[in-house]
Amino acid sequence: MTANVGAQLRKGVVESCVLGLLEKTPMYGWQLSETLISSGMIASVGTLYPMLSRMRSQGLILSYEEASPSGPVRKFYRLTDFGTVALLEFRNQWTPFVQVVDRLIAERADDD
Amino acid sequence: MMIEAMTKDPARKYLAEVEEALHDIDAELREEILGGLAEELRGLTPEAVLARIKQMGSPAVIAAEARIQIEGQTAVMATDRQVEPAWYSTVGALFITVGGIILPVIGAIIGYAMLWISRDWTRRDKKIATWTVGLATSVAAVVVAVVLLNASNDPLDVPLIPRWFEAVANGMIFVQLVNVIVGIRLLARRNSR
Repeated sequence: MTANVGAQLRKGVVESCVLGLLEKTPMYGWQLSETLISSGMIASVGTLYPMLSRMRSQGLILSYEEASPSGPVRKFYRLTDFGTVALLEFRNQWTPFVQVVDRLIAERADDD
Repeated sequence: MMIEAMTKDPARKYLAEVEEALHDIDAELREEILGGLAEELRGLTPEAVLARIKQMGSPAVIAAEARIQIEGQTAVMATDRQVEPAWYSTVGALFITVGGIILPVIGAIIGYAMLWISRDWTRRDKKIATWTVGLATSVAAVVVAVVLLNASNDPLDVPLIPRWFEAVANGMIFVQLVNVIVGIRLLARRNSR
């Protein structure tokens, strides 16, 4: 369990992190991949596309093609209205959730 | 020219390796992954291509990570979406190729229905196949109509085989030939992966 705890935690929140990134600005696959890999949220680009595909089929995000600032046409991903609502719901639950977990796992105070 | 060839080759080789590593996953997802990687390698210098390939990681790792994601998803969705058996798309393509000979019209329709249900073909494969046979059927229908409109009304000119029958049969043979080509192309696309 200890070895998998990081992976399990990431698995539970990585989609919401994608929603959070796309709320700021539409991004293309490699941009998302670099950001998530450098943040330690995914291990490789192989994780990203199945997740994006699933999120698109759930109506959370949309994809469209557009010329990127650096030139070539790329597939960009952006949030849908449903995705925005899902992100808001996650935000509303995240802080209280973290507080509860913090309280439950807090180290025992030393009795002097 | 040399530099251009050097730019393209490592990218092409890498994408071919990724495609091979992903051969057993859903075709649309495979195309999406390959498209995402390809657009990132496009227009880079040879050195930049090699550096970006290193960042992307080995095809085996990409495929393994993709499978972990898909398997997790499949486990969650197992109750509402069954995994497609390996033979399904082959049988679908065979129905397109020869189904119309065994069961005229209906056999081919079954094949196209299986083609659209299967997750082994890309949306592009499905559209090309369907548009091709749709176009062939339209052309055949127009030719049949023209032949029938220009048919002789002379009561003495009574052919052994009715003209309408001959025209419709020729139209169906033409569409069947197109189905054979479409089916063989689909099988070749599948076997090339």
